[in-house]
Amino acid sequence: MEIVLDAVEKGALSVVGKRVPRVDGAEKATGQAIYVDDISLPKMLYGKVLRSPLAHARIKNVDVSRALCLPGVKVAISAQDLPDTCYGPFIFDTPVLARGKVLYVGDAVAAVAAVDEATALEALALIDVEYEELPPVFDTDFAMDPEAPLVHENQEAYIKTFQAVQKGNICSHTTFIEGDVEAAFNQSDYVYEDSFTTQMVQQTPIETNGTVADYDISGRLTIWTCTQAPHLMQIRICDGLHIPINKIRVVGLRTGGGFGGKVEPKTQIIAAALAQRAGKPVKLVLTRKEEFTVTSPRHSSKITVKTGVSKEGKILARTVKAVFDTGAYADDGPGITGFGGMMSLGPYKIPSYRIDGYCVYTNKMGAGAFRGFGNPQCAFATESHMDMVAERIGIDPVEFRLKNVLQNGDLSVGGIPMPSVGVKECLEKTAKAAGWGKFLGKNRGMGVACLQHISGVLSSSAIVRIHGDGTATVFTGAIDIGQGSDTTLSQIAAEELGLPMEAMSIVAADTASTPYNWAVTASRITRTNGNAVRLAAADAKRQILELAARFLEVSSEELEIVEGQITVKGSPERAMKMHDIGGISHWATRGPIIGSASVMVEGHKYDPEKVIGFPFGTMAGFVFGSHIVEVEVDEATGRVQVVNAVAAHDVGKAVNPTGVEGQIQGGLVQGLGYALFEEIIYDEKGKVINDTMLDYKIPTALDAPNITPLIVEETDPGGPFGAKGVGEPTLVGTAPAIANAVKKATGVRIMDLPLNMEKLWREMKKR
Amino acid sequence: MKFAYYKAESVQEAMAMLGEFGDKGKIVAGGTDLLVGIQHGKYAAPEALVDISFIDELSQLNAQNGDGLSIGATVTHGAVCKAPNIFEKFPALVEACSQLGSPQVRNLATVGGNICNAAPSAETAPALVVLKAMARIAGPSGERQIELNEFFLGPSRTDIKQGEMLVNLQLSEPAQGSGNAYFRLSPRNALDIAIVNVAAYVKLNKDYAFEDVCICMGAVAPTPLRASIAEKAMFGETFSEKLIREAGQLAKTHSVPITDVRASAEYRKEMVAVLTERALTKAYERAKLNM
Repeated sequence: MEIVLDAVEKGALSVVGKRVPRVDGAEKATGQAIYVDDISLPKMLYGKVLRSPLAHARIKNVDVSRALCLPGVKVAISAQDLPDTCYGPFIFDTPVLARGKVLYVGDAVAAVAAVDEATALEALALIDVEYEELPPVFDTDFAMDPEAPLVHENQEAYIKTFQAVQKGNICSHTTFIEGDVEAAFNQSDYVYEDSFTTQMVQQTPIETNGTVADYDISGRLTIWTCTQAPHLMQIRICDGLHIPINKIRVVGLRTGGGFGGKVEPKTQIIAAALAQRAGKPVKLVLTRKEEFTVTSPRHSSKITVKTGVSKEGKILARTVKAVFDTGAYADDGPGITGFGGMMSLGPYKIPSYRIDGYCVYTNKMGAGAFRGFGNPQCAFATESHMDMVAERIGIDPVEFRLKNVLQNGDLSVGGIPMPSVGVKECLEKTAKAAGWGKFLGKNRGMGVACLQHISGVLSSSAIVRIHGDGTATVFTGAIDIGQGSDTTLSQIAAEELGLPMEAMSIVAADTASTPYNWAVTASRITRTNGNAVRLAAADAKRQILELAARFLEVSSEELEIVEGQITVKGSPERAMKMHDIGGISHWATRGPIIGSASVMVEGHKYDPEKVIGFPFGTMAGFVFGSHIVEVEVDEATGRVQVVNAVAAHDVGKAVNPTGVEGQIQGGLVQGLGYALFEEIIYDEKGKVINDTMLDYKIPTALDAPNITPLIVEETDPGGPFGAKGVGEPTLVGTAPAIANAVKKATGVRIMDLPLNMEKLWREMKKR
Repeated sequence: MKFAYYKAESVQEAMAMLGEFGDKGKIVAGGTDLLVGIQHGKYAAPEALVDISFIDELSQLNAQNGDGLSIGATVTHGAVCKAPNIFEKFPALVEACSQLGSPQVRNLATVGGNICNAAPSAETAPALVVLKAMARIAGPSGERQIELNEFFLGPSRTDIKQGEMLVNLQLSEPAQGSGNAYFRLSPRNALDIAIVNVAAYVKLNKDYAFEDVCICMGAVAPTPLRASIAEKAMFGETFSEKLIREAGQLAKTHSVPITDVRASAEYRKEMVAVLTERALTKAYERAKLNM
């Protein structure tokens, strides 16, 4: 795909690059936006799920008959009422309701639908389940022991979407190899190895997961839901309930935060199964407690990094062993483990490496995607390690990084050439803005971290319609979950069509009317969907100009669209209004104009000797960033206050700079929570003990530092108008930058997240 | 869940309603603890809620010159923070009120409710205890007064008997040469619960010796706890870093915290020492300015 960057270079853009207000801003600010819990349909029932009290047990029997006798209960189901099948993104290991075994405390065993919530809850207590307790596995070290009980006893039999390397409780082992690592270590003047751990954390969207499902007499299923992926949801429901995709309509509503936790199904399939049997709509909304105990948190991890450097400070070799605890179900774990491993070289040129990522089953809730997809864990480890290496060899951490940063044309892990690499500029800009090296005073410290990420993967499509009055509508499968895609995709279409923003509208995320998009994930919407939208708009524009050419009696190549006027280049008096083209096409000749496009990120093929067990075909749209934070540590308590933060992100062309800055601020603060206090804590029986907003602490506005967001525009020839993505990477750099700053302030190196006050206090006492 | 809601227009009416519903009735004002607690099953759902937040008498906050401070039972934390002249004399109270919850919570939650809810970590309890607040309680057989120090019996348990209600909290005018302060420790800067909180009140004599010391610790015992051994050790002494450190250590030894998901007992004990030192030092600095 060839995307011309002329307009970007000439600075001739009129809508892209402008700080246009969010198209969804007013409805959200005034409370008019419709969320799933606002939906109420006639005769609607309420669903509830019976969950396992045990971490690992065989299900001897499930009997729902007593629940069904309770007045007001319409449906009660267990696995035996459902197709004998499993679903999943990479490994089909997840039943809709537990079959044969329960694999964690909270595993869905049965579900009911009743006339109200209270009755549904009462019914759950009447479901009889007979368990035979099995020894649980809570730790990945134990899980990887050949003697450990198996969480999934027959994983070889599962359908997989890739060549998975599996063994015992390891559901996926990804390896990346380049060069002769041992030889490179031998050539190194210094070799250092450090080990890190990171904790399980939850996305904590303000809106919990929920669905209203309706199944009509003709076998059509409609799902109103908060989701990041309406089209992906169709596929999972099809896999889980054997309903064909063409009979499933998923309507993505306004969604109160996703962060990865609303990609894979949480409530959708169970609500659908209940509605199918009830013949009435069913609402199933998770409680906050369920959100904390049964949804897909970020994997905890154990990561060992070994780096060989020359005495000049050039990195010559690295090995990484990353073990990710994926819990009871693989979910996105194989992808996360592989991708996290891929990111663990950081944005540095390292000629020889071997990376091993292990995705391991345990008896905890199934971990999944959470802003960064394995990168936050690996970046914490590797960017902390970078500072530790710099200190040992006596080089300033910024200088050490600058000696090793990637440049345009360098190859990514797996050998994909990266055409636009802005990491050096990001690092230089943040160092300058933060005043790197300045005197800070007692108990203060400044820390840096750099990062890379991707923004192009898999497929998308888009439609652009030109209406009878010359206005236009974009149809996209991408849902705006707050990241701003309704606005940026409208901007991209407006720019391509030569229309002002006022002439645009957007319809998003209804599988009945909008074309396929894989998912709002992987920071991919601006780049990947943006390409589809731009090409669809270009297709519509071609048709507009061809039609106008007939009336203006020139060839269409001689025409352009400027601010809604179709004019002959060089003779602006020879013009037609878009309004006229819209009218003519609807009422006189040719028929209405519809542009469409489909895109797939493809091309590069991994060498199977060098990339083993990686679930993704290829990647594109590499993005880069640098975070510098300044902390103040309370010496007596161990409490860390982040006082200032500067973050620069290379986003290619910033389609909407205000949106980019918002992403930087939001991601940075979410990363601060990851660094300092967020942690899902289990007891020895495998039960989450901090399942409330009080004891699972996310940062508040008062915990946010002064943030200086900086935009670096290293335009990507493969992105729309040169744009890349920004959603996830903004979180990635924060935790290692804070850990590095705390080291500067206190002399204490924390190598296991979170860096909470009691932990830091204990370590400081040892000084 | 369902319950009846009654709006009381006067203390007498509220008392009558409480008499009628007995243990099936509950008083509500801000509702920020009660309603959340009912929803989460902390309390059995009551049959009736008696709303006292419309009773004028209870919403009065009076800081008259030289006459101490009277805090009606339904005065919100926000009102205490915003009122002029309170910080000057009762900084510990304002420091506590301003750290509770968030602006939205502070504008609803009442100081009286914070006290009657009797959480071991209650934000305002240590401050009110060191300021020697008297709780005025109305009951079927008339009114009585109790020192706040005697008011707390355990987590969610107070001296208020069935049929009784808190009417106001009375703080006497701080003496010349006195100062008070409040410190708390929590991971977050807002919407958080104290891991440990400590308030201190000190009064200096003309020779700058400690004539009266009151230290109250929160979240380290079933009720707010006076660090009485530390208080006694300071009596008659003059300020020194060594003295303050010793007081901190005595308070630490006196505290009996538990280990839970928020912090270990060991850390809480150490933080009692840190916050006690800080509260005493701040209170002392304020006392010196008030000689």
